[in-house]
Amino acid sequence: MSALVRTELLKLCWTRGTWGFVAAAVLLVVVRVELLLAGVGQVGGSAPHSPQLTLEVLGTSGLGVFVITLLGVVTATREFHHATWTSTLLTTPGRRRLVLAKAIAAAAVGAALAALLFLVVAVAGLASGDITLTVDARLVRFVAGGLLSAACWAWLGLAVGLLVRHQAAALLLPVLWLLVVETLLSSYGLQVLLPWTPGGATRAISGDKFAGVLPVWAAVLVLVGYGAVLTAVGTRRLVRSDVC
Amino acid sequence: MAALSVQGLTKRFARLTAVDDLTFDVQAGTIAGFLGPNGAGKTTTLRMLLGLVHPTDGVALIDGTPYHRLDRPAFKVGAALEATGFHPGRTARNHLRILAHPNGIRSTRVDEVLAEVDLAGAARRRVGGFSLGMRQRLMLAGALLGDPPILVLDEPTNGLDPAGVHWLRQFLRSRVDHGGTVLVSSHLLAELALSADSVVIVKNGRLVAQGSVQELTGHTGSAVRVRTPQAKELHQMLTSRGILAELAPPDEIVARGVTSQQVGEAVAATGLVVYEMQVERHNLEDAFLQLTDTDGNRA
Repeated sequence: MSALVRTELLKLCWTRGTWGFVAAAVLLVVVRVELLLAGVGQVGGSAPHSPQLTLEVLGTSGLGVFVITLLGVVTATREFHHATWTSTLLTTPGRRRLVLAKAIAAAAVGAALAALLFLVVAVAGLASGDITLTVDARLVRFVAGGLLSAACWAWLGLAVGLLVRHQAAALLLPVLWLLVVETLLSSYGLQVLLPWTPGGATRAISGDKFAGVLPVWAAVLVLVGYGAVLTAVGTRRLVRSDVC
Repeated sequence: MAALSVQGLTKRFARLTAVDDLTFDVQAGTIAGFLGPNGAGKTTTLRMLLGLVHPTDGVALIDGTPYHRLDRPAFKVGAALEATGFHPGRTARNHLRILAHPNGIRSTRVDEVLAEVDLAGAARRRVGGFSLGMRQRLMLAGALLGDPPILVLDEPTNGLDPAGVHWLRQFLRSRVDHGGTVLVSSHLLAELALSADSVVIVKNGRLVAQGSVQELTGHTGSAVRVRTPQAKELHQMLTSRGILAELAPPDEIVARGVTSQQVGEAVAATGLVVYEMQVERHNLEDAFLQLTDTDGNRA
């Protein structure tokens, strides 16, 4: 299994598109954190060097979850898009093992990218002189939750890619879900469902407070549950399908 | 035990039966050609053999084992299917390293197979810029990574120049001479006639014929064409000796089921004048066209 996971990691490393996703994620969070830091000390903004500002600065890295999810999507859809499933399955005929390796690799890359984004926003915050980084239990929980969420979202992306297969559609689906479907829940009086959505669970893990918010452990289970169910359905489809 | 064995293999896609109760074996140490018109079910059969397509019925075995049960398949069978399954942004070397890694094959082996298929100079070039011939060679390099005793190749000559086709023929023969087994589908019938020990011909997913090239071409016969100013006399003489002969106006006779030596001796005995005598051996192409012709179907 470790050789399979390493192979999947190599595939990601040796594909230029992966580095495009990394650059896009870094650019997004840099813009976001700079906008936040521009408002420090102004009316409505957090006070400089406050613990709240530190978490807000680190929280801007959460914007990268979109890109991390899309990176998970292409881990699967690239194989369909470039018809590389044939050579992949010739070297690894065990399709379930292959999906497991892809899921582990996607989650690892998701967490690694989240760590990089945390680092980027922390450096930006420290460079501005507006935050003081004090490592305490709250900060550790926040960062650990962010890494876990990123790993789960990359995994979810992979599962979506296994199910949808068409690269453009699969890339669009998570963005539409997060930006449109979950946003519209409140508009249609369905906010009671929000804690049980992937986005709601992610907010709960990051320490957000909102009506009906789940405990962190339950939110983690919700995210893992989505990943497990979608991956199981996607794997079943892959195992049964003919690679022509 | 046969190196490759297909037993009662059937594949239906909705209403289409792509492969219909197909059975054939490929013996170890031989090159088997796999022939059939477009849409005959060759690629589907090869993909079932390699575990990529699930059979509706029947089994396809590699050394007695289904492909999906092979432990580290790269060491048992190498496959080169269509030359399109590449990520265009990866270099040739990295493409092969990705194939090598799951089977525990060293990176030095990647360089060896690149040199073997004459792609060492292009190892660090992105596959997106490769010609079809270079992609074919890269596919073959991937098949050779585990130095497997069995090769399954689907149209490997597509895109190769004549020198490349010649190289491939010698390469495959060398593999077989060292105990390897090759199943190769190709549209280049003359090429297969030169390289294959046996041939499997399919049409509409069914087996039409299987045997050595000599057996198959023998089925469709050979002829001796004679050009002579005394065509009528020669025709009478040959038929009087029980030889099947046809007049081919204005000045030719086609004698069937005889050797040139027999015709030559008959001509000398009667003192007839002959301008030209030519043996027409029916080649694999003739046999293929005859065997896969709807009216002449032998299945």
